[in-house]
Amino acid sequence: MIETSLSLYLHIPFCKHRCAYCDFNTYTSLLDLREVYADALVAEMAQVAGDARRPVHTIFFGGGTPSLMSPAALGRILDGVRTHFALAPDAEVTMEANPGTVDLEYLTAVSQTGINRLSFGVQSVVPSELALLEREHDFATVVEAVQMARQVGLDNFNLDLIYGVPGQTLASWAQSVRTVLDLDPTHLSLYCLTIEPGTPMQRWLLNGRIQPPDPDLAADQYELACTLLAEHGYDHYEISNWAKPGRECEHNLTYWRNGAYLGLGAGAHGHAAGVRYQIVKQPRVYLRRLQESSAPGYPLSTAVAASHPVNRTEAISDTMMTQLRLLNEGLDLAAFQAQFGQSVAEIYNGTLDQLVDWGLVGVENGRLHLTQKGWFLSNQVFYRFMLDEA
Amino acid sequence: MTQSNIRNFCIIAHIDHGKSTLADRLLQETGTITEREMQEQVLDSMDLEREKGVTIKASAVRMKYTAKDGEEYIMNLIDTPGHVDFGYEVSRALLGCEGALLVVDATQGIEAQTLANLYLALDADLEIIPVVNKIDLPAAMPEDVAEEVENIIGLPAEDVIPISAKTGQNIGAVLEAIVKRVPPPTIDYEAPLRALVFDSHYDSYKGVIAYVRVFEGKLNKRQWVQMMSNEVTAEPIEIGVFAPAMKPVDTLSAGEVGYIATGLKTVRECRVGDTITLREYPAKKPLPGYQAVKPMVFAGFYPTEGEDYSLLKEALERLQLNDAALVFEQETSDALNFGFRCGFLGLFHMEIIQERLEREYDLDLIATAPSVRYEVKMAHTGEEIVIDSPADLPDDGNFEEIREPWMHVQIFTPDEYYGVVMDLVIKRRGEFVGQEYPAPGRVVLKFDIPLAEIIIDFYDKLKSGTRGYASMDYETAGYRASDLVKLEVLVNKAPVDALAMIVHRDMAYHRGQKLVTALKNKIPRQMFEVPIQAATGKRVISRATVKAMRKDVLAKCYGGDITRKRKLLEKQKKGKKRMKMIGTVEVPQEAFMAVLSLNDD
Repeated sequence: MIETSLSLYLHIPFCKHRCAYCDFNTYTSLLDLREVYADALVAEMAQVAGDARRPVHTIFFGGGTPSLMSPAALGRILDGVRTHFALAPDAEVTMEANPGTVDLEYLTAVSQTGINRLSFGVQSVVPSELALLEREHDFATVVEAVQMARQVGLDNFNLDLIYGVPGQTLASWAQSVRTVLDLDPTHLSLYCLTIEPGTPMQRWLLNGRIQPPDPDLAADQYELACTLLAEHGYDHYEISNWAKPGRECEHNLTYWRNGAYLGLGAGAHGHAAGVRYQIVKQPRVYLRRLQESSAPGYPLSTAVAASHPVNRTEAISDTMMTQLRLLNEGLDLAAFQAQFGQSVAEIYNGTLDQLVDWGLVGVENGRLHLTQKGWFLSNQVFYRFMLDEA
Repeated sequence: MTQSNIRNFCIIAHIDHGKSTLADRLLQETGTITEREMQEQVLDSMDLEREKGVTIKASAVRMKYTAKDGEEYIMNLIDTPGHVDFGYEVSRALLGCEGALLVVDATQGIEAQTLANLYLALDADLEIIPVVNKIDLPAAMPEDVAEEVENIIGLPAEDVIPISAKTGQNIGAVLEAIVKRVPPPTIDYEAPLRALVFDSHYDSYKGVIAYVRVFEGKLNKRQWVQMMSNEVTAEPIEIGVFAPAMKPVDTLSAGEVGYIATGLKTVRECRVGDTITLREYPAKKPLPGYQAVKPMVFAGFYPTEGEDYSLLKEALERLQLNDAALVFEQETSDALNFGFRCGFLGLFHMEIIQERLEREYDLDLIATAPSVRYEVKMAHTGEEIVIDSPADLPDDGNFEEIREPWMHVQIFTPDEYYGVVMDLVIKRRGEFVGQEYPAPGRVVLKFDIPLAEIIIDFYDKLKSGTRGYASMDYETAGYRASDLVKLEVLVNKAPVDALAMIVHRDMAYHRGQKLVTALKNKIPRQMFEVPIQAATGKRVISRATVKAMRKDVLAKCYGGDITRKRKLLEKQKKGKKRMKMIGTVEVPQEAFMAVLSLNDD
């Protein structure tokens, strides 16, 4: 893989409240650390980057709730990026935002830091569903936030929705999708709720307060969304992501093309220079670890928790499972063979036939891709492409 | 020391009534082992036994006790297995004794098993010393229980010794009672050696160690011995007594309890119940009552990973060294590939073996539902065949008669559960034989019932239906002809041999329906629709469908955490690897045990 340009993922591990389904690396009691944390991110960049000033074309502030960071802190972080990397003038710089945390003043200031794309966690427009998810906003807040964003010129934004929520129906889902379509976002991410171990939602499931989501209903919801979004001119470019033409999320494309990205901040993951790594999760530990000298060298900082070189087997499995998520693009069979010295057919002879036979994958114009049936059964495809370690 | 100062006794008790604790106290009280050496429940040396709270293998220990009369006595405690599957072993162990402590829980009263073992003890002509244990508990009713003992067993209530094995209260009285009431062995030193094997274990250095009670004659450590049932001879590597660890001695004489390290390679050559004599000076007749143990319950054991087949074989061979009741032979299943058809004394025995294979040998097993051994008379030839795997039953019409083993069962329960027990038994094709009211509020119900009906969750149902109060004992009642049919299961139109079962014709429809429903819930959705059918003969009697899977997708890729995604997929792949393929259908291992949950009605 040729690392022409990097993507940067910056993790902001702070929230005011942890939502009922969330098992992300975020903390509700460490808000006081926000300013020093911003400086630590810059310090980490300095350690990782050295003097190389590698080119960067996308930045993504994920969380947590990045919109809890002050515009000043965000500004310092992005200045750090400009110092330690060569940030492309047209780079995509996204920040995840909680609709309830932003106002006009804040968004104005944010737009001036260089952030040019927002991703709002809307999740649902139905009050009872928002309550179950423990989201602290209502849909009116979303409408307001979107209007303000447009007002300050941040008109490239994504909206997240969740389906497969206990109690959600096909009709209430259709309502959510239709309502957010009225806001005319450039990008939509629709995620199926996964009930993760250790979350309040899992407890509710175990003690019977909620019923497990019906997978067939989730499938119907997904299909309905596919239809509605296609009607509205959105391109279904990734399993869970839709965009207006030319508005695909460049940053996420890096992940799906199994490209190079640096993960900065507590709990962030990175993949660069043939290494996959993870940063320590606890923000206090992260801050302390960054005090240490003698960084291991690119792409690792002193706050790295674990790292391993990606061997051929893993690289092949990763390529299959990421590249196939891109529904139109799929996997370039010739490029695969050029990279790994073996064709997909050679490596996966029986598996491939079986998956074609089941109608889950197909080959077109030299590219392997999921079929429409395969979109929603992608795990069934991917796990069969996982190679055993030699 | 003379023979008049030897006392050989055992303890009879229901599970949990405190046999092991009492044994511990006796060892302590006699100074056989010190507090420091005291491991909880010395006699139950296997972990598994400790967990299940029962004694699986009999064992023996020799204690020295100076009684109030100033004399020193040798007291041999022979421990007996506490589970109904091991009735024969119990009977052999009892033969080694002259007396028995009958332990009854002061809060529970007499249970079916206590009674069953008591009858064995009375058959063996033992002096019975009744003991009421756990008198330290607030719920204890020692007087009521003593009265029950008098009513049921006919031993005077005033002879019952109230004790607490836990606190040690009145243990001295128990020892004195053993001295006074248990007769010394009557013996003949001059007769040729006759020693009863009441237990054995395999030792990798000394071969099979036979636990023996010498009835007649004497054994010197240099003399060759001979097994009377099979004429196998052996030169003992060592002879000795249990003190409580094995302690070599030069001679074992009539009346004594000890061990003979035979050097033999398997417990099959030296079975429980056999008589050991001298090769050069053999006895004319063995001690009475030897039976070859017969397995009653059968199941297929298959390794989850095909490559573990030889490991499983090795493990079974090793367990067999120590367990004469375990039998196995190679079996091939279309669904599960290579494994073994194993035979056990009962369901409990099967569970123990399965757990030991999984725990001690780290094997992942699929066990098929247990079945029994059927006798089949073929239609045209009149040939008699025996089958212990349901898949082997010829098709309907190809046999003239099929017979299945029946059991005499007695169930002991508070009389308020009379209806519950009757109901359960009738549903399982049981036939009522009779009832007794041995004590106020208690009833003994006697039934005959097919063994096949009680090996699958009967005991659990009995326990849960009676809030744990009922207890049960059974013995074989021979074979009877029944109207039985093979119930086959077809997954995606292909018959699955490992899921076949033999059922009564009247129950086929009901069981078939339950089975397909159970399987439908256990077989995950596949890439295509999977029909599951139950059939007798060629006729499908029930059907369910596992719908095709529509959704299996991972949510958001959190901050580029590809590794996590890969790990989830790898886990999924690993899970699938553990599945068994029936054609192209992936079937999880639990599905093969679905048969066990069929009686949930």
